[in-house]
Parts: sequence; structure tokens; C-alpha cells
Amino acid sequence: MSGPGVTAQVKLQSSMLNSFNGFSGIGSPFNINASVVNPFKNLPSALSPLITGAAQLIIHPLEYGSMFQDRAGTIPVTESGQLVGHVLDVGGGNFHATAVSDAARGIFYADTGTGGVRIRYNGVNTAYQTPVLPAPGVDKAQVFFSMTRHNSSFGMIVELSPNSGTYNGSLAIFEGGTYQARSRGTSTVTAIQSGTQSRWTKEGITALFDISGRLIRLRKNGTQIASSTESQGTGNYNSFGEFRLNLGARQNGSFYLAGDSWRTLGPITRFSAANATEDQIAAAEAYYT
Amino acid sequence: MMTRVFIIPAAYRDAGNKMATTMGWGGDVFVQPLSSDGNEPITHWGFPAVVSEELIQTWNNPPKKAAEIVAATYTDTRKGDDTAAHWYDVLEEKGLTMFVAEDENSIIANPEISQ
Repeated sequence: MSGPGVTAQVKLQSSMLNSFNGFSGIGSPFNINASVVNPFKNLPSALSPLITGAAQLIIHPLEYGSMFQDRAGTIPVTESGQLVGHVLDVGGGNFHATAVSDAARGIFYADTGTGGVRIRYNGVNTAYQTPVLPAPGVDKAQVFFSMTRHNSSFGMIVELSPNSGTYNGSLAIFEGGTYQARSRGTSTVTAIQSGTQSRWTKEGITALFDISGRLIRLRKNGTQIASSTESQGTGNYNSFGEFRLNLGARQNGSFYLAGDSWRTLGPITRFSAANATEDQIAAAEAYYT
Repeated sequence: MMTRVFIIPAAYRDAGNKMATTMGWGGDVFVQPLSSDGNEPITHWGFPAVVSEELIQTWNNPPKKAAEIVAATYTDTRKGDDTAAHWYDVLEEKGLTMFVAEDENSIIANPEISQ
């Protein structure tokens, strides 16, 4: 076989192989073979810097073709105002998100004025989950999203595990007055934004977690708003491969989020052995700007 | 688009969730605990949802086994897509408040470090 198309495919797969030492999400697909499907074929190109060094990458874009009205994922979302039951993960691991019931589906909106796309969490019963994630085998994580919060009731934006306060290897972002970023190796630490949180204002939030490095950093619109260097204990995230990502509520059906999530169903969540580079953070934050 | 609020007495909650699963809703739907003052004891459970005419007809014409559950459930339907606004309007009309648990595992109770 020859020609520019085939050569390009081989080069892409080689770079993916170099980027994925230790990747546990999709087995061992990296034969240099033109027939191997690129697991990132639907990843927005602006987010491709996040692939390098990622042990696990979960992204649910609010894009036509990725969203479905039913939880089974058979009826596409085709226009603004439709319910969203299922959203594909384009981060390479197929950790698709599904509404916890038909009644829990949020509504997708495409704003004609700004062109922004969002999903509304109603603060009462809107919630989504991924399947149980395999253990990523790492103790660092980065979470990125853009949110318009509607009220100050405690709302869970994302939680890895049924309860980040009690399950080892958990993390969470929630907001109830101000944003809080929580991480637990074997000890729970929460970094809390001081001051007051705006309502009905779209903001980009970044949380950077490092268990062994004893660090949590919380950023809003690129500026740090909270941090902690307290000990989170030891261990990796989701050490035993038992946890789902819960989006919009705690797994037991509490702390329902009232707000609009922009461009993605819930946060981009990345697990890695090394902290994200400044370029990677900038790429993710720019995606939400 | 239409929204409907469903509220069921606490004693019927498990049966209501089972019925919803049988109807194909996919999971527990009566997820919001309610009482007159937001404290225990919880007297009702409810939820709002976007509904179709088909679903309304199915609900209004239940099989014999589900008739008691349907009869026990308060529903209110309106046009629109704002499930939250509808939900809070109904709670106000019915004199009900959402209950928020604060147990030792709750977010509020856990130690917090801030900067």
C-alpha cells in the first residue's frame, strides 16, 4: 500500500503509540495498520493536546452526532430544545454518559445569538453517569468545564465515586455558595473559593489535583481562586476500577446541580501520571472561552 | 413541549419507582424528598419531567395493578420546558419544601481547607 493517505495514517498511529504508554482505557490497539480505527477521531481538534500523557480522558461534547435524546443512544439530538439522554465520550475510552432515568434528562440549547451550546441541569433531578471506569493507575487529575450557576444550593458538578468524602481515590467539584474542589487519596482535602460566587454568569473553571504532590488548585477564568497543600493521603484515583463519574448529582440522588454546562455535558476529566503542562491547561481553558 | 410534576406520598415511593421502571423510565424517578417544613419526617417524594402526550395517556390509563399508585400520585401538567420553575410553583401551591440531609457524609459536614 502506498500514497499520502496511508502514510498519514501510519504517522498518526505512531504518535498515538508514543502518547499512550500505560493507557488503560482501550486495551492494546496500536498495531501499525491502516485498518485500526483512531479512537480520537471525534475529539475536537482544539483538545488534542490533552491526549499526550493521558492515562484516561473523558469528554462528552455537546455536538450534533454525539448527543442522543434517548438513554439508549438511538435517537439523535438534532436541534435546540431537545432532551439529552446519552452523550458519547470522545476521549478514547468510550465512557459514554447516560441520564440516570428518562426523567433525569436535561435539555440541550443552542443559543442563536452567541452560538454557544449548553445543557441545563434543573437542580431537582437532572443527572448523568458514565459506566464504571477502569482504574487509570495514576494519582493526578485535571478537570475543566464552563458553567453558569443558577443558585447557591449545593450542586455536584462532577464526583468520581459515590462519595468523595469517604471513598478512597475520589475527587469532586461542587458549588454551594462558592466553588469547592475535593480530592481524597486516603484523606479528604477540599480547596474552597473564598468570597461569593456570581449567579447567571458563564465562567470557566479548572481544577488540578495531585495526590502524592499534596496539591489542589482551583482556577476561574484562568486565575487561581483557591488551593491546598494539605495531605490527601496516598494511592491513585479509582484504584480498584469501581467508580463512575457522576455528573450533576451525587450517585445516591442528592445535591442536584442547578446550572447550565457549556460545550460539554459535564467537565472534561483527565487522569495522568504527570501534571498537565501549561500548554495543555491553556488548550482546555481556551476551549471553554 | 410539556412538563409534569409528580408527587407521591412517602409510603408509595418504592412502588412508584418500580412502576416507573416497568413503564421504561429506567431508574428511580421519585428522587426529591419533601415535607411541609423541609425537615424530617419526609412525607412525600416527587420529581418534574418533560413528558409526551403518549406518556400522559399511559399514565392516565394504568393497568389494574398500578391503579392505586396512580391514584395516590398528584400530578400537574403545563406547557413549556422549564421543569425547575414548574416544580417550585407546585411545591409552593402544595405547601411542600425540599428536604436536604446533613449527615456525617454530607458535603457540608466534611472538613474544608481554603485559601
